[in-house]
Amino acid sequence: MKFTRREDERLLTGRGRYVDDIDVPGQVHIRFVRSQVAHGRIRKIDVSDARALPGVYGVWTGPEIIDHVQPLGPSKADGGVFEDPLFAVLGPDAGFIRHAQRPILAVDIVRYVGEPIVAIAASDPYVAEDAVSLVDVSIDDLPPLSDPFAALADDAVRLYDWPDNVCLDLEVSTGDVDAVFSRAPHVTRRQLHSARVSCSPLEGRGVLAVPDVVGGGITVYSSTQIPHMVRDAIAEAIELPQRRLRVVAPDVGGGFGAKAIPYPEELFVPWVALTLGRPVKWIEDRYEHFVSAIGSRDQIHDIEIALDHDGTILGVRDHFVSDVGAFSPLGVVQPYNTAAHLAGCYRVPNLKIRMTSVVTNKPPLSPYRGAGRPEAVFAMERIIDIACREHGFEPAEMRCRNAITADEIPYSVGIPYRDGRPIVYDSGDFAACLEQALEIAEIVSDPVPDRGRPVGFGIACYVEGTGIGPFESAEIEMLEDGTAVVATGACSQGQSHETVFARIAADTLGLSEDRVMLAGGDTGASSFGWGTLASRSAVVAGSAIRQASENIVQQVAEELSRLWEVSPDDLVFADNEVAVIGTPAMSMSWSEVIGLFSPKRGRSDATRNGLSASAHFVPETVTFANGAHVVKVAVDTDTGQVEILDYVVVHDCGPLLDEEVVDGQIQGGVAQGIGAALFEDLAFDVDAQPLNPNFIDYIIPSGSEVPDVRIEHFETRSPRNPLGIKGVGEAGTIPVPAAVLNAIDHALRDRGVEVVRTPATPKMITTLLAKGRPS
Amino acid sequence: MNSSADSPTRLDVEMVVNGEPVRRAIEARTLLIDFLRTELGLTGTHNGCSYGVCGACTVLVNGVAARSCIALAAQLDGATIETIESVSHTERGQEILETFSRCRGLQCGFCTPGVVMTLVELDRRIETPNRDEIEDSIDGHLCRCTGYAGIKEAVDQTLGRVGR
Amino acid sequence: MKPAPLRLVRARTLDDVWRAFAESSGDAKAIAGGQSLVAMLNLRLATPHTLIDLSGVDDLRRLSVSPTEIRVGAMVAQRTAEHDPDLRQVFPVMSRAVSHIGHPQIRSRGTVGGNVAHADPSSELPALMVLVDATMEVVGPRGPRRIPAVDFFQGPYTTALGDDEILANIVIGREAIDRHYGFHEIARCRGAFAMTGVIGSIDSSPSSVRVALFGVAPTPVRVELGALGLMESWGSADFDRALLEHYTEVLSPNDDFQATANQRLSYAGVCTKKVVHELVG
Ligand code: FES
Ligand code: FES
Repeated sequence: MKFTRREDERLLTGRGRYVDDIDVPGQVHIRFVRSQVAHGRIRKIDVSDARALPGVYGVWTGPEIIDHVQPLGPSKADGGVFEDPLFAVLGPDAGFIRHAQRPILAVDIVRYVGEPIVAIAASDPYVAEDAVSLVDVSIDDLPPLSDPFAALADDAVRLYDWPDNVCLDLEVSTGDVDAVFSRAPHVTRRQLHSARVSCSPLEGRGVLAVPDVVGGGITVYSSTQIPHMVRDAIAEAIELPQRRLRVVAPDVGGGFGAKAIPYPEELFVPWVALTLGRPVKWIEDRYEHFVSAIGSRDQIHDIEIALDHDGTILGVRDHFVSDVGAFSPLGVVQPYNTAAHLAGCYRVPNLKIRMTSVVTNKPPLSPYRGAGRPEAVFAMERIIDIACREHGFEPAEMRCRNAITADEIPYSVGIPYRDGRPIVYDSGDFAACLEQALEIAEIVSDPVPDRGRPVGFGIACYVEGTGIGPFESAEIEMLEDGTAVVATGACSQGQSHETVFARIAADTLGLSEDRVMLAGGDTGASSFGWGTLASRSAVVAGSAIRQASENIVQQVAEELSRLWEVSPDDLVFADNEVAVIGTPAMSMSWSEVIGLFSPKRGRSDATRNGLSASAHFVPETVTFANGAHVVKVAVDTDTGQVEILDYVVVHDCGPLLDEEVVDGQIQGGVAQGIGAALFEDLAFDVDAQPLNPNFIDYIIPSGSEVPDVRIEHFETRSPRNPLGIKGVGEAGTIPVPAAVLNAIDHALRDRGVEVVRTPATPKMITTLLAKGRPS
Repeated sequence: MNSSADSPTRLDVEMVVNGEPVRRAIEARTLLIDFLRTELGLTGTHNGCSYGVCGACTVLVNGVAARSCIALAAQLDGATIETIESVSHTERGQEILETFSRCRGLQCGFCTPGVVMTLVELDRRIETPNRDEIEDSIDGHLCRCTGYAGIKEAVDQTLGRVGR
Repeated sequence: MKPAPLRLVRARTLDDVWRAFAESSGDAKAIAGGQSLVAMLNLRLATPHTLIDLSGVDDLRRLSVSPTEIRVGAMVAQRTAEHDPDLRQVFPVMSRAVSHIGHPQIRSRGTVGGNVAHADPSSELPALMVLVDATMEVVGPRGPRRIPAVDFFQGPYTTALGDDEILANIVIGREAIDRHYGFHEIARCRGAFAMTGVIGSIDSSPSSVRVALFGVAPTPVRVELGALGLMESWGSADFDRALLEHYTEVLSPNDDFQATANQRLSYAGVCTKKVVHELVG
């Protein structure tokens, strides 16, 4: 059989190895008793019946393990790598951040429905669930915080030992916003809300910890995007030396951010394995994913825009509140990403953004594909459309007028990025990209109805800082049979790394792709790594692999040029051999080349250590991808249902490493964006009880809801990495809610409807239509 | 009547799975998906929800696509089951898998075995399914990665562009 | 998400069924295709002590179709009902209604009787049963009973079935077979539970139009549009007004996560108009 991607053969024949597919003899299964109360004080936990159940190997409560498994915190999963430089740059007056400790199992207080309280290990998942149902937990209710504004009230109950419920308050600005607003001819202000959503990869989280047969170490298989960070977190939590701990991300069934932080369960399972001396497995179920994996978005913006007489943007002022739930594992990342991307493709000379993150009794919040950018684009692109309508500008024309052009690049936004470096757009022509999208979409201001349904166009543009540091690793080892093993800290959850990364190495080394093996996501194969998140892997891991490959080439060139007495520049690396240009007699196969470096036959000290290289690509800062989406929708005014008639994306991520992989990322990203725009709303009632933690009421779009996106590429090279590329993993998702809701407003232009919150459900649209005025 | 009438919490089941006859004594509550994955080690069938919505667990039961997460194995005594592991056993199956790969019908691959089994059934029907049935069938699968374009293309290339 | 411990009795005959009910001290549940029930077992929303598996009872699998009577055994798979050539020809609305239940992968194991006996208020088949005055043939240890559909559905997920009774057949008579049908439902997306739906029928004149609605009350609601005189204003704004007035009176839609009560009420009107349009043009 012939497969396009290297991963496809095993994935298509049922031989993929996701964590639940790995069974180890003697393994036991963990289930958690989770809180059904959003906020309360644990009065009593009775586990005696569960303990007595045959097949149960262990039952643990929070107080019993607190001395053995350290809580997660202080909520800096990324070690504060970015937080500290950012706060240093912004200065002490810019604001503050507070971190809460996240217990592994609740102690005394529960803070959200779904928080783990008791853990049970049993012979199989059925028995473990039987035991769960035998545990009796009594909780005295405390007042639940279900709304961030209520949580900000003076008399609100405090979730932590803080003066209020604010965990982040930060302001960033450039220019003189207040002055501009006081004299601007046109000002428009709205409250715009990006609802909470769930990442919902099809495979939930899962951990299998297997004690080593010898040596007292442990191997942990985890469905994670960040094996190295998980290793560090486990090592710290259970005080295990890193050398005794190997974390492997096997095949992972999607991540999208849900698997980009270390979780309590991930730290706990290895401890149980060491305690029981048995392999221990925990597989998240779908309900658990909704209530205990991170949620995301959940920002309410109070945004205003000031325009000149001709529609030129004079300034933007925004204060947004994030409802981060009970914990905010990545603290500053999501809100600051929103701030850093708010101005987007446009010249905004005066900008002031205040971000306030508030703790409530919902599950923790952390970045999901787009990571703060969809929220920024939703606020900015919606306020632009609303302002255009209010003041009589054509949205397309107004955007073209304000979009940054190629001759303004490098363009400085005037505020720092979240790595503390100034935001300077390094490449692109945002205006041209937008114009191309408008042209392809054949946008008109007064589209004709479709089978009686009003039709509208919506536009949204975005920039995206991609390829963030601090670094990514690559290690290449050449084996004696002429093959290469490439290890990188970036692991795949469907992004085709095995194919794309192997190709980068193969191309540089002149090896056929089948001679390159990729080992991603294994701390045993590379000791340093960061992970796959934030649209960074192609850029940073790809660059590291390129650098390491070049290093190998250089070592070989030095050796062969000495041996053959030719200039290194005359060597060609191709077709699984190294040859001297124009001299067919002088060539050597890769396995022969490697032989020169073998300790068995090495000729000099320098060549007796085998042939390998490692590289750590440390980007100076992010590189900016950009793009424009134009969508055409029809709205059924009887039912409030929206149909997407056409979807156009023009995207600039620089030269394409693999066009079909890039298109697949965009198509898949748009599908998730459509989910957020029209369907997905992880909702809670006033008691902070989840209303729809299941695939029946939390609707993920299926094939009929997602059109085939028309994708065009606009390529400008990034000067910030050797490949000239920019990331693409999140881009497809970012502008979709803004574009779709803009289109809905446009379709309903004669009906006085203004949609200010995602998702635009039939329920919302019919309600707005009935009122016939802005909500 | 059941073969272990004295203890109906444990029952014998016999099935033909991917062409092989199997016989096991199982707990009455065992789900088909766990029977396949745990008893038989056929881990290509995945669990994405446990309540019949996502489609990741889809297998063929007596030739027809069905959810293995909401079927009790003990209800399927005598049934013929086909899972993703068997698809490459036939030439046509191999073609379908290659088409899926060529059309970029998968990214992470977690939803994929279920989708492929649905496609295998559609492809095998004597009467070509119409467009509506095809769409209904594909809508019976959630994929969080691909945005469905590659899946739809693979389906079209396999079945012919019915009704397009 | 695994079922609690349970006993499973694989019945082959109805006698096996009665015996199992009798032996189970009142905590037994019949299982048909299990497409709703096993999901509820997984969530431990249902924890019956004993399940009585009906899939081996051949008597429950018969489908007989004639121009004067249709008998659908409770264990006939939904996909069978959907595709059976005779049924499609004689009574196509059945296959149309069935085709809205979940997706093909659900309808393969899901049964007609299982769906009807589940009595989900947002489900299509119960409404069809009420619309066509189907007879529910129920069997139990005390003998068979024939229950008219209107009396069968007693509330959400509640039917007239006794604890030890099962639905054996659905019988649809000549009068219903001879009518013409229309169908329309509104769901968030294909295969999702309907927010509201309407099935309608007519024999010859508009005054015979009747509809049954689902998703707008605890049980399906049948409305005699013709007999009530509502059809007289069909095509004018008066129809809309009178319909809404009547629906406001007879329907009791819920406010829930997917839809407001008002929205469902207005959907009932939208669906009804589509259906009536299909029936009378
Ligand atoms: S796991 Fe069976 S449908 Fe989702
Ligand atoms: S390929 Fe990942 S869910 Fe479909």
